[in-house]
This record gives sequence, structure tokens and C-alpha cells, in this order.
Amino acid sequence: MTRARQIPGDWFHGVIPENIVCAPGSHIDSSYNLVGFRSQKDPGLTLGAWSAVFGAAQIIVGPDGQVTFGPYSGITGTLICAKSIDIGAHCMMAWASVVTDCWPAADTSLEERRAAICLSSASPLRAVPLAAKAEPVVLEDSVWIGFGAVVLPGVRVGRGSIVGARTVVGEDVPPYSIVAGSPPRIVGKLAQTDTPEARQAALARADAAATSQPEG
Amino acid sequence: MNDSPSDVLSRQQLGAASGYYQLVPGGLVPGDWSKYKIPENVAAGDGTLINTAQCFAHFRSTMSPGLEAGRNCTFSAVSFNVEKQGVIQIGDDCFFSQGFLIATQRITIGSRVYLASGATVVDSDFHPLDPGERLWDTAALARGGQLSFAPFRSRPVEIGDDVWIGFNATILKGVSIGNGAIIDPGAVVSRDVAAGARVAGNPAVVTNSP
Repeated sequence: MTRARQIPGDWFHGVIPENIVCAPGSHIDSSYNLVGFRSQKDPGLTLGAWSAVFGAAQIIVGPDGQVTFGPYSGITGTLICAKSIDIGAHCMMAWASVVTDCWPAADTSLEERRAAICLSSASPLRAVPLAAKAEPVVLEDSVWIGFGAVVLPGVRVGRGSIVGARTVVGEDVPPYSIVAGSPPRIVGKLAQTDTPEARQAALARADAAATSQPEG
Repeated sequence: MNDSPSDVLSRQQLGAASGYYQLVPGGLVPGDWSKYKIPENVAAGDGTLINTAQCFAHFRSTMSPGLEAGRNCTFSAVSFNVEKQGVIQIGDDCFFSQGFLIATQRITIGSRVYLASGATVVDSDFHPLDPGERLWDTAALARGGQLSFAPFRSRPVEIGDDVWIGFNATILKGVSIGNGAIIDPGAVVSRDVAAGARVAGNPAVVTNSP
């Protein structure tokens, strides 16, 4: 565990909790992005090298939740994690997108839902209801979640795939696919061009750009 | 619920840990980042908690009250956008997280309703449909409120008890949702939903057996 620390120049008065591990180059816009982070796991959130949490992103994690971000992944949407969300490298999560491992409304009875919401309101911490039914979510490398899209519990989004804007996926998405529509369908396939060589070239280019310009 | 002084203090301490505080008319949320205050014409039962007054950034209701909530609700950064004649009524034990309630006239919500992140409930069209009337509206918008807007349709929305409204779902004007219904993430609801029904898609259709 590291120590709790503030972000220099943060507009919000919060801190980055000590159980959040930030690899070199990783970036968090504001502690407000983490205002719903309540994990008591060690670590509760791991940000890979050069990953970023920015804009209106909300990382909402319950006491038993663990989230990992691979290198060079960026998020400006909402994560809601009760158990486990794993995001690979070079992923993007756009604005108003939601990735969650707990939305069990369809598989729960009225009585269970009623009990869960009352259980939440009985505690001042007001946890997200029905966290106990969480199913881990995985985004493989190079996945792009479009704006307003929703990735539901238990889903694995395959490598390189795109979940189109405002598309809701409740089933696994195969690799190198474009999924869109309601109900969601595979509307296109993508070439497998995110090779190790392509990655090397992209990172080399980024490094060259970084060293040729002033920091900031 | 009568609090002894030690109960009140411990709830403030827990508020500091959770970021949630009792919704008090005319009050401030302790440590709030928002410049807004909680309006005076808001009523909330005991145990209804809020984490920022930014929820009221677009609250313009002049009604008494403009927002009325029961007990033990949780309002986490939800937007209560209410026009001058608008009223929002909410029951007990509701959980609203990062959603949007936009009322020109009336939105009524029962108890134990879950409004998930990004879900939106509106009771109006916001603008007239007629193209000629929309010319007037765009001119009025350009003048920043100096001109009145053209009339548009509004119809109250009623949501029953134990309704769960999924992420990024949309409830449109005039809709009634019966008790215990489930609105799937991303659904756009333009027609009434029967009690116990589950709906999905745009436009939303029933997906469970009657």
C-alpha cells in the first residue's frame, strides 16, 4: 500500500486512497473521479503505466471490489465494481459509458430487490444495492467502449473489439468485432493489426514526441 | 426518528466518511464542492441523504414543495432539473445515482426505486415539434432568456414502487410504470409499462412472459 495523497492543484478536496496503485505515467484528473471508491482490498485499484482517469469518469467500487487498468488505457465513463473489473491495455471507455459487474435486476425476484435496496438505505454508507450478486467483467486489450454504451456483469469483451455508441452488451463479445444496435449484433469485423510490432512503433512515436516537447 | 446528540454526531462523522448528509431545505452539504445551496422549497424525510447540492443546479421550481422525498433515500449526484411549475415527488428507500430527472409539470416516483447511472426521466418534449414554432424557440435560445419560449407538450410521468431503471435508460413523457417493473439498461420507454414487466430496446418492448 502507498500513502493517501492529494493531486497537486486538484479542484476537489479529496485524496487518492492508499490502496490505489499508480504505475509510472498514470494520470488521475481529480480525486472527485474517485469519490465513490470504497474498496478495502489491497490494492483496490491498479492503474497501469500511462493509463488515465479523466473528465467526468467515476470509479465506484464497493468494499470488496478490485479494478485493474492495463497500460495506456483511458476512461472517461463510469465503472461500478462490487467484485472485479479488469481492463486490458490500450483500452478506451468513452463519456457516459458504463461498465459494471453488478446489475442483477433481471435475475432477482421482487423480494430480493426490495430487500437489497432497503439494506442499502439502512447503512449511512449507502452502498450500491445487490453487490453480492456481482459477476466479474473483463475488457481485453485494445477494446473501445463507445459513448453511452453499457457493458453488463459477467461479460468478456474480446481483444480489439468496439462496442458501438449507446450499445448495451450483456453477452461476451468475440475479438476484433464491432457490436452495435438494439438488441446488440456484430455489424463488422476488424483486422488484427494491433501486433507487438505495431505497438512498439506506436510507443516509440509517443516517446519521441514526449522528449521533443516541453513537459506540461 | 428522535436522535440523541450522540446519534447526530455519529451520523455527521459517518457523513464525513461516506460523503452523504441529510437533505435539509435551505441547507448546505458539508464540504460540498458545489456553489449551490439546497433550495428552501425542498422537503425530505429522515434518512434521505445527498452528497452534493449540485443536484439542484437546474432546480427552478417555485412550487411548495418543488421536490418532496420520503425517508431513507440516497441521492448521489442526481440532477433534479425542475421548471417553475414543476414538482418531483419521491417515496421512501429510493437509490438514485448519477441520473437525471427533468420535470416541467410532474414526476411521481414510488418507494424502493433504483435509478442507475445515466438514466433519464423527462415529462416533456422540451421544444415544440412544429418547425415554424421551433424557429421562434431557436431565436429565443439565442437571446438567452429574454424572449419567452414557444409552448411544448408535457405529460406527467408516474413510476411505481420497486421499479429498477437501468443504466442510460430513458423514460419519456406521459409514461406510467407499474410496480416491480424492470427497465433494462439503454431502454427508451415511450409507452406505459405494466406492473412486473421487463422492457428493453428502443423503443422499449416487453421481454418477459406475462
